[in-house]
Amino acid sequence: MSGPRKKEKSLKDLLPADVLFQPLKATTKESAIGELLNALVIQGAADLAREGALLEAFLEREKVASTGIGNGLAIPHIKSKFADKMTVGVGTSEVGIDFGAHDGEPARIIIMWICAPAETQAHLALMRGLAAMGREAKNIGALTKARDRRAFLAAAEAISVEPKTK
Amino acid sequence: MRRFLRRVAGHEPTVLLVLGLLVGLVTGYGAIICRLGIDAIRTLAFGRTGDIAVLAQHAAPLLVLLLPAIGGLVVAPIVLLFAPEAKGHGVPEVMDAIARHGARIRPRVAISKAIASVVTLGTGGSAGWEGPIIQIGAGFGSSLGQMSRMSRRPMRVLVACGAAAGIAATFNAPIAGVLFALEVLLGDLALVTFSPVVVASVAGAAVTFVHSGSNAVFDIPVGKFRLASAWEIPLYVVLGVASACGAVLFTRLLYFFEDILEGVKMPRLMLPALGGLAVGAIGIAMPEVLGIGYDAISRAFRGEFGLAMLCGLFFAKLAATSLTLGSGGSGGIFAPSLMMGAVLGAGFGEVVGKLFPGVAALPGVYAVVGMAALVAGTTHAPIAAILILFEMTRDFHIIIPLMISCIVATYVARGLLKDSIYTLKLSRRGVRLRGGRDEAVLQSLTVREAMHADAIVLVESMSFGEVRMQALQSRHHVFPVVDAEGRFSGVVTLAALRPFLVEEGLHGVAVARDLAEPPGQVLSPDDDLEVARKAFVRSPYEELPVVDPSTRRVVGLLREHELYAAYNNAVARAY
Repeated sequence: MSGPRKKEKSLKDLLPADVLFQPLKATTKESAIGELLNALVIQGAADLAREGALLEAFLEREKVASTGIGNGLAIPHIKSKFADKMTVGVGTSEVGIDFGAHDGEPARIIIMWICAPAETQAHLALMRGLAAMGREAKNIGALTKARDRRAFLAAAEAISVEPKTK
Repeated sequence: MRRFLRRVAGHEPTVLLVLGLLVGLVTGYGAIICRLGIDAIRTLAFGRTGDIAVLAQHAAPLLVLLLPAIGGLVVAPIVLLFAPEAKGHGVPEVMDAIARHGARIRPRVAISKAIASVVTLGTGGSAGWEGPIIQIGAGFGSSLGQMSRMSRRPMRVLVACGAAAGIAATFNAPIAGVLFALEVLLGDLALVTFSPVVVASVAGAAVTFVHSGSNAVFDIPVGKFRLASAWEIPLYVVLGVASACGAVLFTRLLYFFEDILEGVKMPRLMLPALGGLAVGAIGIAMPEVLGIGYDAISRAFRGEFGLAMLCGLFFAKLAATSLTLGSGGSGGIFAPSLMMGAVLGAGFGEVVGKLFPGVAALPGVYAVVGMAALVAGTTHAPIAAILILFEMTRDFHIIIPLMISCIVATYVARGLLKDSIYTLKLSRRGVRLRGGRDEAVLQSLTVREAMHADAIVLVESMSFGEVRMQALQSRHHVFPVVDAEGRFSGVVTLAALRPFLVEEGLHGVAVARDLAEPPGQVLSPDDDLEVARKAFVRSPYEELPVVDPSTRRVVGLLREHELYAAYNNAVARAY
């Protein structure tokens, strides 16, 4: 006898309730990260005075390995002692921004987050979910149609982030 | 016997359980034999048996004066000729044996200790009878371990079994017995340690139960000894502070008297008699301080003493115990701590009863709580102190005041004096025990000597796939991470990685840097092993990275068991 089928976790479930949505003007990776970071800091992700240090940390992480994961999705992220809890911002770009993805696709959806150093599990769980979501090009396509936060969250609710087990 | 032990020695946990049971039973019967011995000596001296405080009240003053001195004359040759370790209160020697001598205790120590303590206590010396029983149990446990050629670790457990059973049998308190052995002697709560100690403790208490019944040691009106109101909580905090001061005073005075008496120019054989004479003189004025002191404790509970008498009893018991043990008499410090705590608590109760008549409970309640708090202050073992009082009174309602005062007393006593009454005896000899090990030995070894250099170091840019392969192929649990210049930046732990190992989720997106935790506790190769031990206490991991502080390069990893292996090797070389 089996119980009711468990509902698959959606992208909306994975994101914090106060997720930020921002159409980006930037055209380069560095300026896109700077623009989204500024919006996150204004929202209260970290002290305004720390914005410079946080930007440096994001760019340093990009130097280690690019966070463009293909199919038009980029996931810049850092753990920082200046953050108390995980804060996520979503940026969209109509023209696309080069994030050095292996498939050469420019990123049109940029999901960027900062978390506290002790939040490794939450950090990895978000990364895993986004990676699972990004493997399907149609998911990114659905998200790029959103023009505001509400539309983005409605699209996110319909996208599964369950990873495949080996 | 030896052949049997060797045959069953195949499965260590089972062997330890069986031997733990045996140690518990022997200790339980040891307690009964000791009590019969004490009763026999009292019958010989006074013509009948009973609490020595009551007997002394109706005896000729000359007998009360001379009896402890006669006891001292008998005890001195036993201790000096057969086993100097039997002098004093016993537990520090057991701690020393566990920490530095591979848990080896000479069998003759247990026998000498038992005889010396029975004579000391039977003739009115002021001390506790748990000391000899702990030493009998620990000595028997060690002898069993030596006969079956056990290694150090299981021997430590058997010695702790004896100590647990000693407390359990003496105070009819099996739970406190377990906690005392783990809190004071081993500093270890591993299951393999825990189970035999529980078995031994229950066996010791069961023997007492079979032969003396299951009655609580002290009768208190059940349900009436409780927190009277929330306003009483600050009073119990103050009682905890007062008990800590009393405990530190007792600890200091005990060793002060030992120093003074050792400086007296007279034959060593006569010293316990001199101490006994002084105790006898105190006993003529206040017979309540003679012997173990249970009668005085019960009377303090019932509020039979006035404030002046309670003050007098506290200082008289303090002096009598310090004189008995300081001069070379034999016995424990647990029971005297109980009595001093009881009279201190009752005195405190009298004072607060007058100051806050509507708020404070009866003095008897403070006596019960003071008793545990003073024990917590002298032994630095608050959990054992709370449980022993709980088990001795069998009244759960007293638990909140007990917990408040015992924890406060332990913290304040530790602040006033780093050592407990047990460890001070050893640290005066240059042996500094922490968590059942000699701090000095740990301080003499460096991390470099104990660590292994084959740490698997991950570079921040390593892909998840590479990290996963390293983690799955390695026997390590912690992987240091370095940046592109080779400087240490954090650790990846198997525990954090585990949820992601069996799926593809992080492939192609995560690199070692994303998986890394903050560095947390990091060791330098030149840190001593005591620093490392403390770092392990603060760290959730069993392995810590060793990093050169000047170059920030990873030079190795230290596992917790490697630290103790290095310690054990050093101890084996030294002794």
